[in-house]
Amino acid sequence: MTVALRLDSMAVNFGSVAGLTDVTLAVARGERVVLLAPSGAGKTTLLRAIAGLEPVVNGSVVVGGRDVTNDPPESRGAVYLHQTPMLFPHLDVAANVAFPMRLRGIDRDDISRRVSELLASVQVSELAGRRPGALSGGQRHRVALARAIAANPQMLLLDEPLASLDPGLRQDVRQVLTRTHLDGTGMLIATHDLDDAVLLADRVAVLLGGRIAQVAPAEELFRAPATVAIAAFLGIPNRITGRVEDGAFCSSMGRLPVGGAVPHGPVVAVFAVDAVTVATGDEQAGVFGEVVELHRHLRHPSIIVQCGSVTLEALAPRPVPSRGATVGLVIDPSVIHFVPGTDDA
Amino acid sequence: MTSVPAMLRRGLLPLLLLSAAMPLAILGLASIGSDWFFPALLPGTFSLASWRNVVGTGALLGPALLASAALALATGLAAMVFGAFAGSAIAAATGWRRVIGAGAAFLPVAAPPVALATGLHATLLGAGLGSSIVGVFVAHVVPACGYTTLYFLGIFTVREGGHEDAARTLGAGRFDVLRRVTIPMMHRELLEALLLGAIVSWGQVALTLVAGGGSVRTLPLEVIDYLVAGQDQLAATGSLLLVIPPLAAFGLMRLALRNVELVLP
Repeated sequence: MTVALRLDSMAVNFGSVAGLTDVTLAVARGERVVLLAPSGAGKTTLLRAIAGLEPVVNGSVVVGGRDVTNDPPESRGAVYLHQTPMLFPHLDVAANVAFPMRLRGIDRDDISRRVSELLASVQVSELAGRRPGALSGGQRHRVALARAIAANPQMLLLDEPLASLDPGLRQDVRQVLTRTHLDGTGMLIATHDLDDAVLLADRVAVLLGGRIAQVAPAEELFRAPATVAIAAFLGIPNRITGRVEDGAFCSSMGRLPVGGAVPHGPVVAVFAVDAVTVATGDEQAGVFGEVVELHRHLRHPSIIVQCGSVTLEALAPRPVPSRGATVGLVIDPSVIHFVPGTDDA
Repeated sequence: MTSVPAMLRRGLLPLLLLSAAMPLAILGLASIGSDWFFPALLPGTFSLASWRNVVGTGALLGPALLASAALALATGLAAMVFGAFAGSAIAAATGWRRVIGAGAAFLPVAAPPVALATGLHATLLGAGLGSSIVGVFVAHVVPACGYTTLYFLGIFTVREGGHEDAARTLGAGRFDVLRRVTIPMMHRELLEALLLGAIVSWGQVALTLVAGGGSVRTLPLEVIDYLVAGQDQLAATGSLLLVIPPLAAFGLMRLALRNVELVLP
């Protein structure tokens, strides 16, 4: 893979205290990697450090094959897009998009042609003469993206591009981002939103505890989180501590035969809500419990079932059982992922 | 039914306008009238003699007006530039550096002009700038820089610099950021600081008197001399000349900035 960005053991402080301690990550040209992390984990700090807006304490930043660790922001080839589009209020839309090209001394006619192309690509051609103050939130994001692409960067660094938008605008900007595919440019998009990560990412990099904890395609990440902490952050609710012995997972819920390459010793069985269903008459319930809570999610309502000392979350059947009812649960063993260690998340 | 606060507000606005307009009207009448004694509502006689002292042969007010204007403009420019850099530097500082910086900016503002003049006098004499217009300029710049630094400190404390960061990663060096982003985005604040610095200089008496040693004649000094000498008509004319330029500058600035868009990110 041709690398647009490579971070090697990068360390960045949060003010005067240690923040990001050991960040290693690679983004290919044309690839869209989502940096997924909880609020306060250092997403913005990491993006700003890659862009040269925060000092790197240790390690290296390589953009487009060139070590830029000590280079100023203007010569790194990495454009940073703030959460709120920082359009220049004294310039109209066309002049904003032309800004990076004017800096490079590009011919006026070429700038004009390129500005038209870029505005068309983000579907705001009719706004060329407007000032940023006359644009909606979604339009501002589109213009900011066009301006960033105009700089012809090796890397685009987008900091929570959807965080400040209402649902309608989120969808609008999401579409622009998913349609924007740049062959020569890598994209690193910071977010704490799991849905955004799934929708936008070719791969997801989870930033936890000051380091990249796992990098994987979204589907793989949710199916097989590398640690219990990642599973907890991803909101995977079913985590059962036990041991794998003699081809079976032993826990307070009993023995569950397991196949394949499952680590022996203490493990945590991790599985999503949709791996647990309420047994109907035809199915053999593996475990019984009492319904203690109903979660009224819009798309997938679920029930919380207390099975002895273990709490499980399962897809709610129709009709939804009432609180206090006893239900039998069926767990699909093929989607259980075993993480070595204990649940200290 | 109209509430009491609303009635007060309605009543206060005409009062405010009256309090601003009355002194100007009285000065205007006094500058063209003489023999005006209490309780007469108007001067006994009218003449434009004092206005001829602005532009006529041997006029004193005209040259003083020019000297004041030149000093104010130079002081405003210098204080604007200094204040912008000092204010941003102090805003970016933390801990004791910020406290010392803000304190240093506050000192020339808080110190009474006479005390400041006394302190500056020895320094200016030592530098060979005593009784010169350059010395007066330096004396004016000191408090003006204090005001503009505090003004910009407030602005830069709340300004996050996101536009500058964006510009830099788009390929702009520090100078380009200053020229293409910061200055155009802040031209309202820069003009206001220029006006603030100019106004500080425009009204100075003590500093001009001490630093200029009486040989640098500005408009306030002429007005005071006329007052002391009992030449009320000339004093009123000089006073009007002191009031009109700042008001005109303020009005022109408002006009120039009426289409300036303040856009928050």
